[in-house]
Parts: sequence; C-alpha cells; structure tokens
Amino acid sequence: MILSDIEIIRELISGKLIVTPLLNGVKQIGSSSIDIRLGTEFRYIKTSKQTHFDLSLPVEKIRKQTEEYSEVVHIKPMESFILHPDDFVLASTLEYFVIPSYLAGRLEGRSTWGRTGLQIHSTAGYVDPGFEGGLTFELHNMGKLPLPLYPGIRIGQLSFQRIKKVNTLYVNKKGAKYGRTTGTKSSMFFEDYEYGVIIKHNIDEKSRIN
Amino acid sequence: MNNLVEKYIIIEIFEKLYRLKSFISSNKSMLKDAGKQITLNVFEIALNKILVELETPIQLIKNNNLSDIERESLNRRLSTTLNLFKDFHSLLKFIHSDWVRPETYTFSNGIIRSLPKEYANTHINIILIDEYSFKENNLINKFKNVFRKSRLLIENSSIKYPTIFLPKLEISNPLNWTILAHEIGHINEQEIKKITEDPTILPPQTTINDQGILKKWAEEIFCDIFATNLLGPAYFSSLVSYSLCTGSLAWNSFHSQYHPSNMLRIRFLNEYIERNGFTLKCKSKMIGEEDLSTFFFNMIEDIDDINLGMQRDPNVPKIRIRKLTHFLDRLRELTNVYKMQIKYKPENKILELNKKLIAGIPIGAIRENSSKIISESLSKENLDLELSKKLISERGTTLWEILNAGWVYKISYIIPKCLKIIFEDNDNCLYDKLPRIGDLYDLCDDRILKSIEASELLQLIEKTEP
Repeated sequence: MILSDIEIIRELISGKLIVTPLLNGVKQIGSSSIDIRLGTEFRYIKTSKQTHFDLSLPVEKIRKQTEEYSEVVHIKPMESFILHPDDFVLASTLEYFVIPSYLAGRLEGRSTWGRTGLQIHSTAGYVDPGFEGGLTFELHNMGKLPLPLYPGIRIGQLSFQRIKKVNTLYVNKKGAKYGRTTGTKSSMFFEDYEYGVIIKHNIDEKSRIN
Repeated sequence: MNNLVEKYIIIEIFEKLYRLKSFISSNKSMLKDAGKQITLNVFEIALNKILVELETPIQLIKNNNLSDIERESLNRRLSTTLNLFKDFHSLLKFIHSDWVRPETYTFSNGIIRSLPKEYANTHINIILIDEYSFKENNLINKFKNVFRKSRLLIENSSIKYPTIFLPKLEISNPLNWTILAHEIGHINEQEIKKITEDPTILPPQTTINDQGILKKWAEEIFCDIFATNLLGPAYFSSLVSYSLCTGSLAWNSFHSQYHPSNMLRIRFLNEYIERNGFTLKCKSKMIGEEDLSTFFFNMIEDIDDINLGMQRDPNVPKIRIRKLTHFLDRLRELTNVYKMQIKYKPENKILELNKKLIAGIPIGAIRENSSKIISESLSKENLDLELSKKLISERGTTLWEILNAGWVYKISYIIPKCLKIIFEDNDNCLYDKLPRIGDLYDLCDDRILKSIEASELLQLIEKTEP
C-alpha cells in the first residue's frame, strides 16, 4: 500500500522516517509522495581514459578504474549544470533519508521534467527498507535541447510503500555498498560477490597463461 | 579527568595525522607517475614514524599519578611530536595539491555577508599553504611593495583583493574553518581603523615602538571579537585547539610583534563569551555537563605547567602588565560601542542538531515546531493538512548553529570515542587505531560540509519561494 500525504506526515512526525532538509512541506508533499531536490554534486562520465572495465585486474585497480571513469563536478548554489541531449550524469539528492524497517521507497521523475525529456533514473529507483543516506540517481537527457539544472530544484519524487517488517535492514546488510553517503557514488559492481568469483577466475587465468 | 589536556593533545595529533594521510592519499589516487608515487610513499613512511613516536606518551598518560619528572618527560615528548608534525606539514610544499574545496567558499561567503554593506561584494581568494598557520594578506598591498622597490607607481585602488591562506591539513575540516572568520575580519578596515586609531587605547607614556605593537594587537583582538560574534564558542574552541597544537600556549608572556599571546587572546575572549551569554551545554561521560567554552578554558588553566617548546620572539619588547590592563579595558569598552551584528539566537537548537549528528544525519535544516504541535493539526477533530505541511517544514540552519553543533558533537561524542580507542583498547596497535579514529572524523566532516552547502542553498530558496 502506498502511503498517502497524511500517512507520510505522520511518519515524519514520529521521527522514524527522516527526510531532511524538507524546506517547504506545502510544495514538497504531494498526495502520495515527497518531492526531492537536486543536490550540488554531479558525477559525469569520462571515457577518454578507459577502453573497458578490465576485470582481470585486482579489485583495488578496478576501483581506481571506476573512479577514473567519472569525475565529480560541484555546482554552486544559483549556478547551473547543463545536461546536453543524450548526456548521462549521476546526481544526488539534497535530502538525506532514513527509511524505517517497514517502509520501502520508490523514486520517480516529475511530470514537469519528463515533458522536457529528462529521465531521473535509468533502472535503480527502488529504496530498500532501512536505507540511510542521500540518493544517487541517473540523469539522462532524452530530449533535443540542453537542460540547465540548478541545485535545489525539485527534480523528482519519492513515494513510500508499507511492507511487513524486514529482518535485515539495508544498512546492516552484508555487501551493502551505498548506505550512509551524502554525495554521488560511482558504481561498485565489482564488489558484488558474483564479480568476486569472476575477477578471481580472470586473474588466475591470466597468471596461468603468463 | 586526569591528564585531560595531554590526552586532548594526543587525540588532536591523531586527528591531524589522519588528515595528513588523507591529504597524501587523495594525491596518490590521482597520480600515475611512478616518481610522484614514490615521493608520496616517503611522506607516508614519515607519517608512520610520527605515529610510533606517540606510543611512549600514551603509555605515560595511562598512568594517572605521574610524578613531576614523568610529567616533564611526557611534555617534552609531546613537544617533540608537535614540532615534528609542524615540520612535516611544511614539507607538503613538495606535493602538488588541488584548490580548496568549493564548500570553503560557501563558508567564507557566509562570513562575508556579515561584514558591513560596503564589503558585501568583496571576493576573496582562498589558497592552501604548506605552513601550518592561517593568514590574511592583501594582494594590492603586495604589488604596491613590489612596484615601490622597482620605483614604479601603482594606482591607489579602492578594490581589495584579500587572500586567505588555509593550511593544507585543514582542507576538509570545517570545524577549524572558524579561524578563517578571524582572517576575514581583517577585511573590515573601517571598523578596525576606528579602534586602532583611537588614541585612548594607548596607555600614557607608551613608547612609539609599543604604540605600533599595541595597534596591531588591537586589530587582532577586534578580529577575534568579529569571529566570536559570528560563530560563538565554535571559534573559541578552534582557537584553543589550534593554540594547543601549535604550542603557542607555552608561556603567558609569549607575544609577537603582530599578535598578542594566544593565552591573552583566549582569556579576553573567554570573558567576552561569558559577558555576552554565548553559552552552550555540552554533555558527555568524559566531562559531565559543561559549557563548551568553559571546558576549553578549564582545560588550559594549568597550561603553564606544560612547556610545549615555542621560542619567544626576541624582537618584542616586554610590554608591562599595567599597560596591557589599560589597553584591554579600553578595547572592551570600544568593542561595545562598535558592536557588530550578532547572529546568535538564544533559541538555537544546538542540542537537537547534535543528536542528529550522532545519528549521522546532516544538519543543514531543522524543524521549528514540535511533533506535538504538528500532531494536533492532524487530529481527527481538527484535520488541517495544509497547516500540517507548513508545520512540518524545516528552515535552513545558520553557520552559527552548524559549527557550534559540530563542536559540541566533537567534544561530547568523537573525543570520548577517541579516548576509548587510544587509551583503553590494549589489543590493537596504533596503525590499526588511526583509521578507526579517521572514520569518526570523516563522517563528521562529511555531514558538516554537506550541512554548510545545504544551509546556503536553503537560505537562497527561502528568499525566493513564497
């Protein structure tokens, strides 16, 4: 069941659901969601140094590769980040969230931005129960014109679903990679256990051939 | 608590070592050149040596009943380590570094907005330096000196180009950026002129040499008051911590031609804080319940026993105490007349913000209304959704609130945890303890930096949104 505005406010009052800063409740709390604002940090993709992710390298080097794959840009208040057509960038919310164990969040775009061709997230819109931190999301300009994006604008919305209480909260989950951070964070796919096996296999193969 | 000041210094050294390590590592991750990597490795090895130096003082401090000889030995060792750390910092000139963080400008813009209107559009340049000290300089004056030497004239410009110097170590440490507020205070030339050129600050029969020195000191104390008015006990706490770590509390009589002794400044400020009611309750097992400034002031009360090895400036004539009493009394009166706008709000919510920080939540905004009031607006008989939405909204916090909550968090949460890690954990070596301490500071830095940015943004949005 998706939480209504009254239920969202009740959860906020109880202090179990935390969304901060919540500057303008009247404008930000919709009938079944909270509008979220764009933060000041963007992470754009740099392809000039990479041909591919080389998974035959040790994890530390892959981490370095993924760091070099993107660069952080900080945009000052009242300055804009121009997202050109077909550009892809990671951005973060201005808000910090604490989601209780009995709620899950769902990130969606706002119709206002959808009409310009702006996609708020590519695939990762689900927020686990027990998640704490700022949200990193994937902005993609599908339109034909460049879009000026300013920190602090309402960029998307988060709705909440009530679920049965879970046993393992996101922050306590083994292998949780993105909790309790505030800015944008690069992908850490190589820390997935499957990739642990693949990377080990690749390194062994490489040393066997050599 | 026994040996509190020594324990505090040890924790501060740990913090600084971790920050240096982070600074070096951040360069390392960007470099591909093997030669540069090796240079950075040398720094890392040297840092580890300083860390090892701490082992003996820590063992000594664990003994609560130190004899006089042991205490002297402890202080000598601490002094050596502090000097080592300062020398180490100066060698950072061998490492290329980035510009300061964008948040530093957000912070300094917040301070500049508090200056009188004529300075509101001043743009300052902040750069990182190798020396472990905070400074302010005016580029135009520097150029004037250069051209004067070449007998060229430079036009008298009313535009100022102040440059503030930030030690590399403090690049990500917003709690110590409060000292930048003091440096920004130097921009306020008109107010400074009013005070330093007031003939009554000089005691009768002051020599010309002493007059020059006292005028410079008056400017420093004015900037201390400026920073305290804006940031309250947070500035005081940084000043005491900085003084402890640079060894500049060594003797009461340590002055330079440009600065009165830090002990004199601290005593003056402590009284100023008390007089203006800038109180902040701080609670922890380590200190019980104590006011933040009082905690620092009490900690350094017996500092005379600690000789942290600073050398007295031989060029400064010894100004007699009688003159200083007159000087300080007069400054007190003058700063009351030229009182700058005080941002302190007695209804601030520092303790509430501190609780948020302990939960790891940034503090760029805070809700003014209590949960009880909002709940009432949602009761069945009186359901007013629009009102509830209004009541649940937050306002952007001020720099005053963010930095003071940060200092309360440091003293009441981080320091006790560090004490436990350093002095009570006997199972791990110092190398293993350093990253654990670093994690505490990393989280604090991140949340405070995020809060400074969010607060600035929210204040802009608040102005524009109906």
